[in-house]
Formats: sequence, structure tokens, C-alpha cells
Amino acid sequence: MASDVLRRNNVKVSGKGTRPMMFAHGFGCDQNMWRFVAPAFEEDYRVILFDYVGSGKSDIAAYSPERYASLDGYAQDVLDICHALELSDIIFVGHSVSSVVGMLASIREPRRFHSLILIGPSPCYINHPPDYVGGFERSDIAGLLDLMEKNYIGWANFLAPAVMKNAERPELSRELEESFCSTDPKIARRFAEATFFSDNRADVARVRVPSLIMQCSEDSIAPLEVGQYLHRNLPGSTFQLLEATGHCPHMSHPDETIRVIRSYLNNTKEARRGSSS
Amino acid sequence: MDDLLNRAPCGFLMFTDDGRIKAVNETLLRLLGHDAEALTGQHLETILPVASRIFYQTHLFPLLKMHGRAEEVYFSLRTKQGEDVPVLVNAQRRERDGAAVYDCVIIPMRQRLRYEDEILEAKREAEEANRIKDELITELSTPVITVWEGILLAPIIGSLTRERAEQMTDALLHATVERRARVVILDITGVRTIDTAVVQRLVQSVAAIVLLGAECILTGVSGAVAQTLVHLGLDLSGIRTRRRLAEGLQYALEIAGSGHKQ
Repeated sequence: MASDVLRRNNVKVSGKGTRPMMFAHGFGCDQNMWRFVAPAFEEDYRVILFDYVGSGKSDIAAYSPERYASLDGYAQDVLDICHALELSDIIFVGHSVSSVVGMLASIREPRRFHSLILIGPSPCYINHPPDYVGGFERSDIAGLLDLMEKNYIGWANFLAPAVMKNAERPELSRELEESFCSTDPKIARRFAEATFFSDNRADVARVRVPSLIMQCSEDSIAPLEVGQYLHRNLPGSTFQLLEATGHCPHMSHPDETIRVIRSYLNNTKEARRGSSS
Repeated sequence: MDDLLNRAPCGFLMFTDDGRIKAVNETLLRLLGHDAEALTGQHLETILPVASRIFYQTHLFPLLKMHGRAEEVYFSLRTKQGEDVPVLVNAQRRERDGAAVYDCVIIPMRQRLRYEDEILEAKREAEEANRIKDELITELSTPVITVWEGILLAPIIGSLTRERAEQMTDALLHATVERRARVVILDITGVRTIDTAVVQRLVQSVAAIVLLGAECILTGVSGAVAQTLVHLGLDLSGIRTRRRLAEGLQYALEIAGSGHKQ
């Protein structure tokens, strides 16, 4: 059964260390997005990459609209992998929506997790005036769904397979085979809805695992105010404002991303040593 | 900027890895109603409506970062006057002074968009019609009739796909319990094709019915179906077969009748 889960979620394990470090991709992508960052941790950790069911090279046949209608279904994917690999003391690195997925998984099985590293997190993307500014109105998300649908009309074009048949640069074709975006438009749409319509503000206070909030400068998806809100309400959280701009620092500014994660992990290691002595 | 590119009949825009606009051609400036000074150095997101910003961050930027290029991507640009212009974009990464920049060619597509909207609407209607049809077929395809007290008849017509076989099993088991059936007749006279996976499922549903305390009779077995059954080498001891439905009915009445006498 364990091997079923590993196949289902296209789980890839690498690295020389023993402590597991699990990288969870965000909406719109798959595990390939970690390729500028994850290798840096292979020397010291057991690096675990995976695709959520419905993304990347996961087993699409295992997709269930009911299960993945909410982020709990995605959190179950994370826990299924933890069980299959018998992981504990996990450093969970989640980008964007996976930050919430990691929080949900850690609430259900707190003992499995060492810490959560949250890159561009938001507990709720929709505005709830007057108390909460998530950054978006429901109509904005409807606009996104419409954009996605129109781009999926020319789905083949969107992935640009024709230009990738480039004999001089075979590495490009290989990359394309490791398909990049979510493959099925209906699944992508449901993932978008689960991501942007979820309100997990009530779950934030229930997290019992220490965490690092990595807040980008000028992030239009997870703006500064949202990161600060999360820091105020997330027990045991450390807040780090990055120089990196945008929403994908692990792709646009991998060096800074690696540096900040390393320094947080070293600090928690020392803090633990300090408290135990 | 090269004069040809500046006046080309398409928008041109160059931006950096962190989304800053480095250059814009005149055609695009005219479309957006901005002047070059106002846009250069600004973040690309300043000319994107909210939905397009999310799309840029979650799809386009990762795509460019991972593959170095993107083709025929659709989103909208916002003009200085606040109007949204639907555009198609081709983008490509290249090195410039040691840093990555992205060159984009941008073409407004107002007319074509209307056509695509119509296609999408037609597609949605077709999908909805299909869904209704499927539901109807599902409802119609697995009737379970009480022909006599304690005797159920399930006539199966057409091709027995895996999906239908599953529905049929569900309906049959439900009816067997609900209507306290003593005998269940599966009539496959109208079945045209059957494959081994389906036969296996059929045998399983028969076994389940037997477990529920009812007898199961398979009627209308054609030569081809009989061959499949035999080839499979399945244990058919739990299944009684009769060639014609009438014979099956007669047999069922005997069993049910003997039950009444007890």
C-alpha cells in the first residue's frame, strides 16, 4: 500500500541526511519548481519531493473531486506520504497554498513535524471587511478561473510542445516530458477554487509546530499585511521579510531562499540545544 | 530601441527576472495610453488587472522560469484609462548583460476573444447536455423489476461496460435487500458485447446476491457469452443458467413457490 501512495503522488526521495525535509509545491505548478532550491539541502537532509494528486506526474486516476474540493484533501496527501515513508521530525517547506496545507497536516499530526517553513503564505485570500484584508474579491478569482479556462483552450500551445521538439537542445524536450503545470483543466480549476476560496484563519491558532514565515517584498498574491496578520496569529512563528519580490522567491531568488531557510534551521537547532542543556 | 521594432504592428515589452519593465515599444504605449517614462522601471503588475496578476504569478512566471518561453498565453492588460484589453503573448528568456530578461510580443485580440467566448459557451452547453443524458441513461439502464412476490428481474440491454456493471450490481444488491427477494433473474438476452472484466464483475455480483440469501438465475446467455464464461474458467457453481427468460421465470416461480409452502 505504501508503494501505491509513492506512485500516486510521484514521490521522489534523495539526499544524504536522515532528517526528512519535505517540499510541497503550490497551485499551478509541480515539484519541478523546487529544482533551484531543494538540491542545496541534499547534503544534510533526506529531501522528499512530490506532486499533489491532479498535478504534475501524479496518478490522475486517483483524483476525486470530493476529496480535493478542500485543502484537507491535499493535507491528507501530505500525511499519506508521511505514513508511507514512516517520516517523523519533518521539516515541511510549503509554497503558497501549501503553507496552509502544511499547517492543516501539522494540526492533525503535530508530532510528525519539526517545523513548517511557509513561503508566501496566506490563511485566506479573500477580503473579509472590516477585519481582514486578504487582497482579493471573489470576482477577481472568477476572473482568474476565466483566464485559466481560456488558456486551456489552446492547452497544447500553452505548454509549447512544438518548439520543444528541438533536436539541438534535447534537454528541453526532456523537461517538457516532466510536464510542468496541472494537466487537466477541470482539476486545475478545482485546485484554484480550493486555494483561493478557502478561509483557514480559524485553523492558524491551532498550529503547535514552530514555523518560519518567508514574506516576499511586493507580493501581490500574499501581501505584507497578510504575512503580518499570520505572524500575529500563528503561535511559535518567526517572521522574515525577503528582499525577493513577487510570489515565487524559490524560483526568482533561490540563493536568498536557501540562505534564509538554512539560517532558520540552524537557529532552531541551537535553540533546542540551548533549552536541553 | 530599433525603429522597426518601435513601430512594429505588435506590442513589445521587455522585463527582468523580478518583473520590472525595461523597455516598451511605441505600439504598446499607444495601446495602453502611457508614455515610456511612466512605465520603465515599474513592475509589470502595474499594467495587469488583478486576475492577470495572479495568473502571471502562478502560471506565466513559473512557466518562463522553468522552460524559458511561453507561447500564445492569454491574459489582459489594463490601460491608463482603466480599460482591460485582452491580449495574446509570446515570451522568451535571454541573457542580457549577465542577467535574464524576458522579451514579449503582445497582440490585442478583442475580436477573436468574442469568438472564443462563444466556443466556450457552446462547450459548456454541450457538457451540460451530456451530463443530463448520462444521468438519464444511468437511470434507464439498470431497471430492477419485481415480477412476482420475491422475484426480481433485471433485464440488461446493449453493451455492458464496467461502469454499467457496477451500477447494476449496486442497484441489484440494494433491491435484493429492500424487496426481500428470494430469486434474482439476470436476463442478458439483449447484451451485444461483453468482455472478461465485465463477466468477472457479473460473477461477483451474483456471489454477493447469493450471500444475501437469494438465488440467482442467468438467462438469455448467447453462444459468445457462454464461450467467454468458459474461457475464463470461473467458478460458476453459484449461478444457475437458463437459455430463455421464460424458462428462468418458470424456474424462479418454482423456487419461490416452494418457499411459500414451507
